[in-house]
Amino acid sequence: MTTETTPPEPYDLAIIGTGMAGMSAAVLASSRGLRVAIAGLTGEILFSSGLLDFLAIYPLTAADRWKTPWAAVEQLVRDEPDHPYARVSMLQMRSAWTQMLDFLNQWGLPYHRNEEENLRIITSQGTIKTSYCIPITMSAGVMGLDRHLPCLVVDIAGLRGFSAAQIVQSLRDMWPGLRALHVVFPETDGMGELYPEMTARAMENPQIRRQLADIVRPLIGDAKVVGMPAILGISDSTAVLHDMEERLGVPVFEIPGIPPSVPGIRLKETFERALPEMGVFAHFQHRVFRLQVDAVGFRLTLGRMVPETEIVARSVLLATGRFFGGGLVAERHRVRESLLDLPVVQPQDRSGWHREDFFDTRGHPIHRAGIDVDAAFRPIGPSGEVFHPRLFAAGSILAHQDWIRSKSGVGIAVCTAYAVVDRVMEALRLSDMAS
Amino acid sequence: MSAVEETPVLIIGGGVTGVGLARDLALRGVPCTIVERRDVNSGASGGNHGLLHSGCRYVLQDVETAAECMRENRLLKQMAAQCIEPTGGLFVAMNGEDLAHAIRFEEACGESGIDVQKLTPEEVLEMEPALGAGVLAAYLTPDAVVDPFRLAFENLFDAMAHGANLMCFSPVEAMDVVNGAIRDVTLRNTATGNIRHVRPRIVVNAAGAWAGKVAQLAGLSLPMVYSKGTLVISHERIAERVLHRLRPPADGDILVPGGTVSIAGTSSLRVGAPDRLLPTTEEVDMLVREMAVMVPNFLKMRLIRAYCGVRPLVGAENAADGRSIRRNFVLIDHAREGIHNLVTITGGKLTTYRLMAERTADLVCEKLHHPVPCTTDTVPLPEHAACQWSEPGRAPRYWMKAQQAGDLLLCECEMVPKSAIDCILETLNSQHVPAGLKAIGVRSRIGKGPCQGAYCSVRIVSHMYDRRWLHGRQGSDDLAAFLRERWKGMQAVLWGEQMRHAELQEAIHCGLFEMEHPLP
Repeated sequence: MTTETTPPEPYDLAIIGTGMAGMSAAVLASSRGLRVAIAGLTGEILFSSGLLDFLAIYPLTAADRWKTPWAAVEQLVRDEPDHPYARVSMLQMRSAWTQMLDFLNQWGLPYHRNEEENLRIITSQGTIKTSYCIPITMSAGVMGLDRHLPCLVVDIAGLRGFSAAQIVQSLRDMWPGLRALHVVFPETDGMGELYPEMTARAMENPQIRRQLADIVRPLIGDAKVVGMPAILGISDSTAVLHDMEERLGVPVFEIPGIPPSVPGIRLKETFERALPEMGVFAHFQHRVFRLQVDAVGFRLTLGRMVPETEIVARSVLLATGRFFGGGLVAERHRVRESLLDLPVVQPQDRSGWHREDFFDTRGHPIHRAGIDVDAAFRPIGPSGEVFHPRLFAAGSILAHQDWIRSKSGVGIAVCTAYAVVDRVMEALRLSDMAS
Repeated sequence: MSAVEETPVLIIGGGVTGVGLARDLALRGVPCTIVERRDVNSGASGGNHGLLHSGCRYVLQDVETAAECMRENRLLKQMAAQCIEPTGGLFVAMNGEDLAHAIRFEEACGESGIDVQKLTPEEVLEMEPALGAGVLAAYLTPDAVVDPFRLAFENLFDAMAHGANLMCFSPVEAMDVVNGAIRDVTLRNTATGNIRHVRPRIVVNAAGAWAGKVAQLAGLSLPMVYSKGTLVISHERIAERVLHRLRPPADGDILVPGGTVSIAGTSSLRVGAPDRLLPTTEEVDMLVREMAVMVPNFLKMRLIRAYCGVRPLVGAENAADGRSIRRNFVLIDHAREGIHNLVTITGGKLTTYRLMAERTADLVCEKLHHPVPCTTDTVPLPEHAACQWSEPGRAPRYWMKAQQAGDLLLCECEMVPKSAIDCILETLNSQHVPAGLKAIGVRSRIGKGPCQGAYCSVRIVSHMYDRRWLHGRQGSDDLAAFLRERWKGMQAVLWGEQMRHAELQEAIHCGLFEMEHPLP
């Protein structure tokens, strides 16, 4: 460990966690002039589907998807005052979405939305997914499904878990204009396995695109739109998309599939590239080993495998996620918060964690467990006491929400991150005044 | 649709007893038809340890069962070697337990003629370091491990090669009894809805825990007692040998290795009915606690699944005079109750399945006036290629060796390649089993690794569409049914790493694919 001779300059905000909540908070806070540090393992964001959900199902047992997420949020907030959305104003939510989409667009990963409404697209399973914002590379699929246009679905030999025949068969009653095409990817023998990431990188080569287009073009027939797996490049997917559309003469769209997938890789790479350039002190692939409270605020011990360095910060945002992200740890007898052992709202014992049917539409009670916060997103104990006036929590670690079942993961991440940044600004101002 | 078929022998129940009996009869030249309400081994035959008893476990309570187990153990190691891993077993008394019990155990094994070898605690620790420091006394025994799925399917393939038929997903709806004999059996295919009629000369009720219900269809009363047994599977193989606590049989005292995993069990709970049972968190916690006495590290072990089976015990007679119900098998000729062509075989153990089949076939042959003796004790069970995929660790060895171009792995946890899936799919038709994930799961290791099917299920469904095994929305329905089935075994062991997997699985199948609210 390094010994500091002069006290290091404290960050205004140290963010722990590099999922959607942590990354969004870093973008939003740095754009407001805060000195921001972020630390975490970025592997999990790869498992993002790349779709930015806001809210589509509420209550969980209602099969109808909400057409207007804003109306759904309004009703949710009325019914569930403890839900994280109930602590964010509609105005904050609107700004949060606008700023994040602007950010993504500016860094070369444009998203498509219809501000007031959710969008419907098909998935690799031949199901229909309702989301709020989708990568621009998927947007032609909305129109295709909406108008049931004649559509050619292309799959690629060696890309497992994506079958055009499956999509066409599963949706044939609802979208009869679908047709399947199985192709061998250029410069492969069609025998071995292809990995989505390598295939997407290969698609950045114009020669490969030309060859693929030459295979597909003669078979387009009456199709007005072409769907394919999400492999249209990594760093400049828009250019790859437009080139394919030009070569094929019809709109092209990507169909989201099982993660880890290319849309998740694009998000991860965009954040990893943008944040350091925006002046955020990014400690990617570092975990936080210890968080101590001291005179200025907090002292964080970071490192890759072992503690390597310390940083100090005036405020801290805990955005460490749930079980998959590592923010919550399920032990045999209880769920614990991994860094500070903060109190976790949870069912009495393990027999109450899950329901007997995996698909029980009420959802599993354990997925509503998490950290309880006050109106300013500060973790609180059982009697409502704040752990520290400048310790905040955001994203999926928050209690009283089931992001998976309500289809609200990114919405909760982005909106609570936005609200926290507002609160951090306020808290820092107060602390400045006090000193 | 309705058809009438004749068969000399109708066997009700496609567990290891039913398929073992079918092979025994087929080898004696007696054609038969097995009907099974679900799939092969869907009852106790698929819900047990896979322990090939040496007999030691019963030497102090039930000498007869012990002797049967000992004989069958020796025989099956010769006759069904491909299904058995001759691991050996250890009976271990832990500190604080009664040493006199261990001495009685050693004497009783000697009297029963079972070879056991006394070991010092130091020797035992060297052999099985997982045992920890608390060993008081230990004996090496000839216990072994058997793959109950491979055993059932090898028997089935050989039986079918000799003329037997199998109809899965065909529960018996009714039995028509005329003049003291079952004349007509009505079957309903649950996959197609078709009704079939079978006219058997002899009916064998080998329905295991459901034997009472089958007897009822013939108008008979067969009181049964059901004992639910829960087991847990660890992510790693903890010990090389079968480990038994050396104490009077109790909950959580057996740890059985199986290929790359270990299975710990069992609980024992009387239940009112054999259907819709799930392992509970309480049972799992009990097993973890008890197992940790013998294997201290068990508290930290990653468990990937729990499951339960139902031991069918035929009750009333023994219970009446106050003796505990013995776990040997029961063969009943219902002629004494006025039905001359119905025989029930139930109870017993996986280890004695062959003997149960032999005794039943003897009775059936007597009734058919077909005096041909049993040969399953001298003719080894042939190996069939389609039967090999249920063994943990088998598929990876095959895949590494074969290395065929284009043979992609569809299940990465257990390394099951496309070719194995294709091979299994080809066999399903002949067994009247619709192509689907659950059926493939019974015949292979898919979905049994750490991801519990979250990934391989999706890839295999896609593959089945590509090969035109699935049409329309069958794939979504099949995937949902498979994930529900896997969930039954997951929900009681979700902590640590498994909780992370379960959350990811739900994020994929509900978050992205929205499968909890299927399309109308």
